[in-house]
Amino acid sequence: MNNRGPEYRFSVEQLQDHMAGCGIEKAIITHALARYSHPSLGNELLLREISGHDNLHGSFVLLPPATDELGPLERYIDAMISNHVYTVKIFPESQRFSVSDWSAGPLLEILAERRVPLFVWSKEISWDRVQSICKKYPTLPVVIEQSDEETYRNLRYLYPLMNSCENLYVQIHNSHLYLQVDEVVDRFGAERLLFSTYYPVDDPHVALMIVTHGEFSQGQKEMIAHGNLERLLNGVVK
Amino acid sequence: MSDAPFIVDSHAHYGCCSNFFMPDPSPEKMLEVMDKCGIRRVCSSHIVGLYSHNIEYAYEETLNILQKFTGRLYGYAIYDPFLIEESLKLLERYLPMEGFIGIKIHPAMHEYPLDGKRYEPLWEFASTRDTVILTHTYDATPLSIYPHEVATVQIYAVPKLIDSIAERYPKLTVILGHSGGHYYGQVQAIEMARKHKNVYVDTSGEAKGYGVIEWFVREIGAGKVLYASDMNWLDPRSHIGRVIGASITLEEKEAILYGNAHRIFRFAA
Repeated sequence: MNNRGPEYRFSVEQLQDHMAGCGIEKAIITHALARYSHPSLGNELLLREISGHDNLHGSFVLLPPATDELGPLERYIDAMISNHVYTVKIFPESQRFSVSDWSAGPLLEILAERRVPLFVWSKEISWDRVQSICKKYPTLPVVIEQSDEETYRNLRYLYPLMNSCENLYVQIHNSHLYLQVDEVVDRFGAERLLFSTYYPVDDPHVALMIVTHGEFSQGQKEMIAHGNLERLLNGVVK
Repeated sequence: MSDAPFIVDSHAHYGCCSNFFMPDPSPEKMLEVMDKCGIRRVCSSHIVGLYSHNIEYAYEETLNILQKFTGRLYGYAIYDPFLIEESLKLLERYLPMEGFIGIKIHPAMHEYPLDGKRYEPLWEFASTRDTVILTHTYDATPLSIYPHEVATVQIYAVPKLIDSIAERYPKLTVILGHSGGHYYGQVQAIEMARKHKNVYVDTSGEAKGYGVIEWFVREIGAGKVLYASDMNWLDPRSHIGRVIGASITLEEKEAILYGNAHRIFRFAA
């Protein structure tokens, strides 16, 4: 892990304490080992860690099915949903797979059928590929995460994508270009922005103040803070 | 803390650059945002003078802004290491003017090392006039989140390059802008601020790591940390949130948000 700062190993209890201190009621979390070791290990450890914490919801890291590393795809996703895990992430660049149909097609198809939100870091996928996935799978909510990247430089990619893809959503934890979130709300509405912190790598107060002191209505703040994500989670076919 | 704007932003910008879309870089909008965020004073350098060698244009534009928004918007003069004579003449002319509070240098964008000889006339000039220097600093390791081609020029701006200069000019007040950028640069910035009495760090930039404000305060004390946003490039709310939300005392927050800047720039309370 790069650029992490002095202390970045945190327990679930520390996470809970910090959330309470920041006024964050619920969180979706991923286990770091699902990215840095193996998805099957990280996903399993995640379920164990968040068990008994009703305000913490898991997000699994998935792979395309060809190498059979997670077992039969449909069974894995059924089990995931029955464990109340309603969002997934992919890391195509660092975990070395293609998101084209010949590789990830079966995975994307089943996620679109079940309307499971797909989170992907912008540095892990090309903007052209994001556009083609959004177009081919209109029932698949695609959430752009902007982690470990200067994503404020990406608005010239993001705006035309948001214009053309209704199923594209954006997390805000790295949206700290001057006036960025205010501008996006003004142009596109608040419906497709999701509050996120990238804790414990980033300081949650960065994203918090961008929303609490945003130049938009209280209703729009609430949509970004929780409403939009709740709507996506409620849409998952269980 | 007061309800009236009281924060001092020690590192910001005027103008815009072509690298990416900037929603509204105007000074008028900056004033609006300052009022909403409780920022009383912003100290900025003009991007044109840092991204190109058109420093005279940058000075003129900065002066226009300072004259229009006196008492709220302040300016850094700019020293270009490739235009030494012109820079010194402009410094002589503009620095005494109301609103100019220091000198900004950008070794990465000007692609010249912070400890190179072309900066020597600046150190001589600044040390005899008791003026503040804000230098861009960053992390040049390959793992920096900058794209590789941008990270390469940061080699000219790593914080440890200030070491020999601060040794030779102990009275020079230097702010290490962005505190070295990311973790490896921050480690160097801490080392420099701890070693040299008049070397400071600021909060500006892309890095917004969890626990970093507390780390700075623990290592070098709140008296060495200045609130800064990099506005109109980055959003001032993000770094205000980091300071206000940090697990440090109210007095330490006040020092970072305005107390240190009042002392260094000699602003009236």
